[in-house]
Amino acid sequence: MRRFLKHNGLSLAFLGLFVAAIVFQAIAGVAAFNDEQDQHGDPHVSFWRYVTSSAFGVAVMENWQSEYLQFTLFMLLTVWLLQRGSPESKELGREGRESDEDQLVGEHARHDSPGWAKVHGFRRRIYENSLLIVMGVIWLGTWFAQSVTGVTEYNSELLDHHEATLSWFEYLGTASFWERTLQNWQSEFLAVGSMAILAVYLRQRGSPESKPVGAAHHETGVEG
Amino acid sequence: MAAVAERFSAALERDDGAAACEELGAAAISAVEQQEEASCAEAILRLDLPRGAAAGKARVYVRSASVELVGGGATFLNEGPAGWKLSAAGCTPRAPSQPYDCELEG
Repeated sequence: MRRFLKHNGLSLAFLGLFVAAIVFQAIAGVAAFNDEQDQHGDPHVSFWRYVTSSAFGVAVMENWQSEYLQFTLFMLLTVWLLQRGSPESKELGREGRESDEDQLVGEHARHDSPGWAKVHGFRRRIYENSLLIVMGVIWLGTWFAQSVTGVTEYNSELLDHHEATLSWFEYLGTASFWERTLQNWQSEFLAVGSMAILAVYLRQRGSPESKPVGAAHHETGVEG
Repeated sequence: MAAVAERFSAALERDDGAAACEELGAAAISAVEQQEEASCAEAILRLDLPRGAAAGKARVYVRSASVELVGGGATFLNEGPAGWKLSAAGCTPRAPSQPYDCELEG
């Protein structure tokens, strides 16, 4: 058990933080929702009613989709784009998908390489891009979920104001949908961009996200 | 909520103002009483609202709904502790993205 915790500490810590954060988001969310209900003279909703509502759903999904977009784009762009001096970047001159030898695939695979890294053909192509594929699918799935919960919430407000409702497709063209989407995207892109450039000049001793403290600013693709 | 809209319209057709007011939300009752300066049961019968109309397409999103009436017009409803109640009736569409023009609006 102790070994399990030691070997998986990073993911377990973030899992714990995620669970705590989403629980407290739900608590704060139902309180804020019921404040609005009071303003409209409408009855309060229970915690369980709120967390199964489109209001909570869209609030969660709009954040999840932008996080997975961030990772999807980051993985994709770091294949070909470089940032001199950043530990987030590959070394200069190594842009592209790299050789089979560098990537330890096919005849260059080691005895402990994953099974699909050793084979040829479709299975290896899938495995070579599996991280991008999964992140991309989750991004599209959560973005779709944002749109579905978002149109429900949007139409509920339209009906409250005695206006005609929109179809899902019409909702995709609204300022509301794109404002929700882009407000999340801008923060993700800023965060990743900041990390890429700040890590050129700043250090965090002991973190693999940083270069070694004594590494030169121009050193690219090295970890602390 | 389609049944609520139909009961409301049926009550108006038989001039049963009290029964029609049973289907209204508190804000709509207050609005019609202020507008007509009379009790709801009396005031509601003075308004130009569809009578005896059948419910057509209904749209429900969370706790808000709209019901189109066969023959034209629409009603809007909200779900509260007492179930679905009308918040607006005798509504006709205006320009897109504009609220409906309603004879009764709470």
